Amino acid sequence: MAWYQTEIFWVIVKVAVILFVILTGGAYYTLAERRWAAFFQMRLGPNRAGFWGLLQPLADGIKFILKMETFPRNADLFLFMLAPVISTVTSLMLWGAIPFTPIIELPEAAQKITGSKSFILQVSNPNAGVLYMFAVSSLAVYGILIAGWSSNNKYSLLASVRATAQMISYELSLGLSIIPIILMTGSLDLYTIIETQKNSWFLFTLPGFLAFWIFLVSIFAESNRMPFDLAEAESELIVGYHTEYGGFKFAFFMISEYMNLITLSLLAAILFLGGWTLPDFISSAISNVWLQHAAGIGLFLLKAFFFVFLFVWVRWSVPRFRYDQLMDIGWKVMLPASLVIVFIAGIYVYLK
Amino acid sequence: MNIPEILFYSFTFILVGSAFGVVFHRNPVKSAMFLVLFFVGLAAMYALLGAEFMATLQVLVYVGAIMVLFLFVIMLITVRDEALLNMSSNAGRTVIITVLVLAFSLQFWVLLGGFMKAKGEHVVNGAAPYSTEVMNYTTGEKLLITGNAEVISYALFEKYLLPFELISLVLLVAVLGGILLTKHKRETLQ
Repeated sequence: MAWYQTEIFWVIVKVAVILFVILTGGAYYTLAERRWAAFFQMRLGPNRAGFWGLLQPLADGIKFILKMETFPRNADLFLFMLAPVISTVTSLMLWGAIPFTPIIELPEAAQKITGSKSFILQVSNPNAGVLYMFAVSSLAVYGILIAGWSSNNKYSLLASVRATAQMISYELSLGLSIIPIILMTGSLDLYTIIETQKNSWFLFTLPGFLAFWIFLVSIFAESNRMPFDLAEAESELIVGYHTEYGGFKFAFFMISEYMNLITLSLLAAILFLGGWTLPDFISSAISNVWLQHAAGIGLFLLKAFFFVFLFVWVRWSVPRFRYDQLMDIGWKVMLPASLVIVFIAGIYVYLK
Repeated sequence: MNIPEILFYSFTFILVGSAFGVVFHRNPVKSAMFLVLFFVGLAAMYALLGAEFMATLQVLVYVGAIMVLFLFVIMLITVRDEALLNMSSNAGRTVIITVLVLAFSLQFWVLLGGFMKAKGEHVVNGAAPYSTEVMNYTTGEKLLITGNAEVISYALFEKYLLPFELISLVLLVAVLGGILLTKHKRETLQ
């Protein structure tokens, strides 16, 4: 067996491809956000670097690298440097479990070269894929918490405490909102969840429809986005937990936030909108298998893109909540509602 | 010497090291961070044993929720950094790290030297498959289920349903008690 036929080689290739895609995606999401924000406000936005401003992320990156490294006095340097690393690594790790493609049967020629019969763009398939996603994303809290504490700045600490309290409060309703999906699928595996939705998305079932709204609100709160971005309330807290960070350390926080948004969009498309599955009437209309796969994956990316746009859309249309309102919504509305939805889902699955 | 063994001993090193860190570090926040590292290492150990479900839950519950609350409390109270006051703590740290590194390299060297050529039974190689036999109540036939989540849920909701529900009741009482205690204090303050 040649070296390029081993499994580990292909895993490394997949990791390289996914790392490239996620980092570029995160960088270009910042550009998209700025452009769209500009359009919402009747401006043009960054359009000088390259055609349509397409080189802007690159220019930003160069600028971040060339900036002087500054460290606050009396800061805990080790934890100060560790915080952006934790944020970035956790958001990179999340993409390891996402199945981007269905299992594709390779043609004869490709089988001979690669030595494997099928291909799937998913680095590893953990036994409990959904739980893996939640476990890893719950680690992201540490990046924020440590960043706030180690900067030795009262505003940073307050912001990080706010952000963390918000994230662990909404993690509850986020976790509960996917239980209807798990109940209807009977599996924690992301691949099985997608395949179950072949002919009906979970959005179009009663418990799935109810849970979707809880999920949607929770991911906005979980990613500290606009209606809930109290961690970055400028009028109260400067810019939040990364006030003391500059240069590429700040870029790490920024890019990990955008990567998290993309991950959540993909997750929403997988859990509620059927991922890359095509309903039977479409897949029977397309005769070529490769075209079917292409259509499915294209649709999957399109669904995810809708959520990517939704994040920006909401950010520039909805004002910010007050912090006590945020906590009230989380604990007094979302949590009981999601418990009721779990109950409804139980009845639904039992009757079916 | 294969990859699981190397991983096992590396994780052991991390686990023991971070456990020492929890106990001996002078800064409570760093101590708590060592505890986080310990829990993550423990999760890795579970995963190595084939109990992926336990590993994920370990991270989700202990690291994602419980330790965050610990850190919350520690960060909000003023922390005096005693490491600066006491020079001997540095010496202690050095001793611990040296001993750990020595022990680790010794272990590694022993393993590499082929002392373990007679295959040991305890090694984590290829963990036992988790499976259990259950009865399907509607059809009456016996099924063999594999997979972590399934086995655990059958154990919890079939075999030990009563103790499980009782434990959840105890937890509920504890939650209510916690709320009652804080509520009471707040009223007296007003």
